[in-house]
Amino acid sequence: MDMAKRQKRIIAAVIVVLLLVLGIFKYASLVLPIGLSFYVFQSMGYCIDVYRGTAETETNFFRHALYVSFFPQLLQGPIGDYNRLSPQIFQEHEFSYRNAVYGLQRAAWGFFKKLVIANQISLVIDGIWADYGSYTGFLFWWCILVLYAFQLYADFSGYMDIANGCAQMLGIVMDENFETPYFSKSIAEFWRRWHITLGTWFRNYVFYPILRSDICSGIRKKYRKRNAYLANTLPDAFALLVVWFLIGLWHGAGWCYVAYGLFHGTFVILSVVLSPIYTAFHRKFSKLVESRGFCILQVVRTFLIVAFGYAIFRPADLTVTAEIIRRMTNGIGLHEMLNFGKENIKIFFEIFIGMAALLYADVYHLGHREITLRETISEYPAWKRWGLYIGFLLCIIFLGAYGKSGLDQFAYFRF
Amino acid sequence: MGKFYRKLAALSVVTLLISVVVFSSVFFGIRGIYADNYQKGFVYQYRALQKADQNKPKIIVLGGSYMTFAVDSRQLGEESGMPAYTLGIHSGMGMCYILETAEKFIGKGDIVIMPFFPFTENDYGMDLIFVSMDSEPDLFFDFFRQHPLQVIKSSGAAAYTKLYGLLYSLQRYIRHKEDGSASVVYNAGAFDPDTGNLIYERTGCIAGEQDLYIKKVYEINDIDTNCYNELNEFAEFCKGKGASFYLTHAPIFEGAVISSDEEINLYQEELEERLPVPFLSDLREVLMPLEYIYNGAMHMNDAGKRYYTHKLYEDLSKYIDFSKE
Repeated sequence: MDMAKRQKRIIAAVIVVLLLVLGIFKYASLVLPIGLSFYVFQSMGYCIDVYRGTAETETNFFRHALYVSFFPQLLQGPIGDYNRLSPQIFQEHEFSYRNAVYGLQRAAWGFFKKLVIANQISLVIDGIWADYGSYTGFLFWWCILVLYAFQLYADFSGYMDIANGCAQMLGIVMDENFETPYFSKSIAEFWRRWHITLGTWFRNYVFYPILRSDICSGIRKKYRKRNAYLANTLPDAFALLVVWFLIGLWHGAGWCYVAYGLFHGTFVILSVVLSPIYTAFHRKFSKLVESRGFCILQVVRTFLIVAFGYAIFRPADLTVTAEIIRRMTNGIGLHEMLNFGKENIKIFFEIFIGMAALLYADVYHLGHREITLRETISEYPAWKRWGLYIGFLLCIIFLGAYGKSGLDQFAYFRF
Repeated sequence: MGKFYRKLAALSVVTLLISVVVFSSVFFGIRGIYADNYQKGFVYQYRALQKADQNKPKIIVLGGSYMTFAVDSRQLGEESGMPAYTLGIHSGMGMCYILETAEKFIGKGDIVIMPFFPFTENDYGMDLIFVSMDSEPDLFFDFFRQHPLQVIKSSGAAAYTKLYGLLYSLQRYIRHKEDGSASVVYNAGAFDPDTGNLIYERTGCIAGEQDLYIKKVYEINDIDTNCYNELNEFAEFCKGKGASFYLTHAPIFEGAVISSDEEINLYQEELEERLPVPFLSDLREVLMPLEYIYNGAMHMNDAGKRYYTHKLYEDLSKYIDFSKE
């Protein structure tokens, strides 16, 4: 047997074994080790990179184990790239005051997001999800979906800030997983800014290999002369369909997760399929498309689609999703929404403060690519800077929700 | 690295000091804003137990609001001829907290009764506990001694709640308005300060359908195993003190229960197996008609209270000869 064939068989066997491990724990209703999907995917990515010759073979088991189980990323990612992460992990590090301070600040920001925003929203809406049958109304359910969108973002990105902050304190820069995702103008852009490392993983190890596969080459060949549009679009649409099906499945074994993946996939595939129409529209109405109003409209539209997707994702049961959609279309629900707000006004005040800080940080990030908010703050006079830090910590202590059961979990631990 | 640690320590100490100052000024400085609160009922009950003659056997009934709405300690005392007390006005305070508080008052010959209601191991409703301890430093320091970590973890939220409560009180004062219709019964004035009994006049049923037909299912698997452990430990504690501990079932509107007879039988059998404490009554005996219900499926009106209290006495009489007590 020649070397190439042997290597192909070995990598196939490795992938099968890793998927079996994941499948047995995740899809056979066994106790799921926290973060299993993350480190299985990281291991798989590394093996494929070695097979492709783009990463060095690590012969030291302990060094490999350190790469896979580096503690900040172990529970919820980011799914690290070997070539970027391993040199940093294995090299010696001198203590850096700047890294230690910035890392600590970032971790504190993550705690703020988790405790002041995500946990407070969880206190308000968890009961609604558990007792979904008692609530109706269009406005009421949209309010819950929007709140959940912020909860999930604050929870997941909060964990990332804690993980990246811890790593930065040790002098290690991990991949970023979020890039102000709710300011995206399309679903495809949203997934380039939300859970970035998962999207990158699927792009590198699923999407491109499918595009390069014999099936896609065959389709391209078949239509190249007859219809250039189909020759380009069909392989893309097919690869995207597979990717989104798998992204759904990555989240869990239920059909709800497959539906969630395909829900997002449908919008992405539609954007590819309808791209000639979009291009023509953009050309004809270039001024309108470039206007601020149109951009805001696109951002709002994308956010609403994403928020609606959570009606599939959060209940983890399609019958519940169907019932929620039914209840959503049953009346306006203004009275229910106002009552809900009135009953939880104290918590909403806390959430408002947290959200205002988060929005400010995200908007600042969008408008100041060249300098981060932390760098700006570090240039403040000492009294202002220290006042800000202490005030921020007091906000976490007095406005955060902690110490109650159920609040010590992160949403993506279950994956 | 030294500079980093020094600055980190300074930041931590300053933040901690400010937190302690803020918490102390809010918690001990702002007083009385919960004076008219429903939680005051718990303080009345606690004080009544404190005043009780600890050398004389007594009856103590524990529970959440389902108990407060259904048990009149004065009536139970008169019927049984023993001094009777209640403790617990809200399940949200946590049954662990109520059991733990009751332990201070349990002595030889006492009869302790609890209408069973499932709870979890870490059942401490800190928001409500803080409210009840608001003007009662002895209660606060007692609890702090036993659960320092729990107090520290929830003190931030408690201070915020109190500041918010202050704003709310000011708003009410400015508007000269009552607290709202529901608060008439959920108010300190609804309790007898001497006994902690809910004496607010409750005639007829004022609950809406949503609060009545709650589709209650009695399912043994819904009960946290820690609940059994806590209750069995509590039973051991009572035994050690020479007191008798009995369980019964919380009253509930008959239309609220959707479990079948077989399901209820199975639930009771399994419950009795896991909790080797005598159950005073069958669950079906406390499924109450609408005429006994007040503002929720588990909240009795005055007629329901009289009925349930009398039934409690009768059930107890099967185990205890009150003529000898």
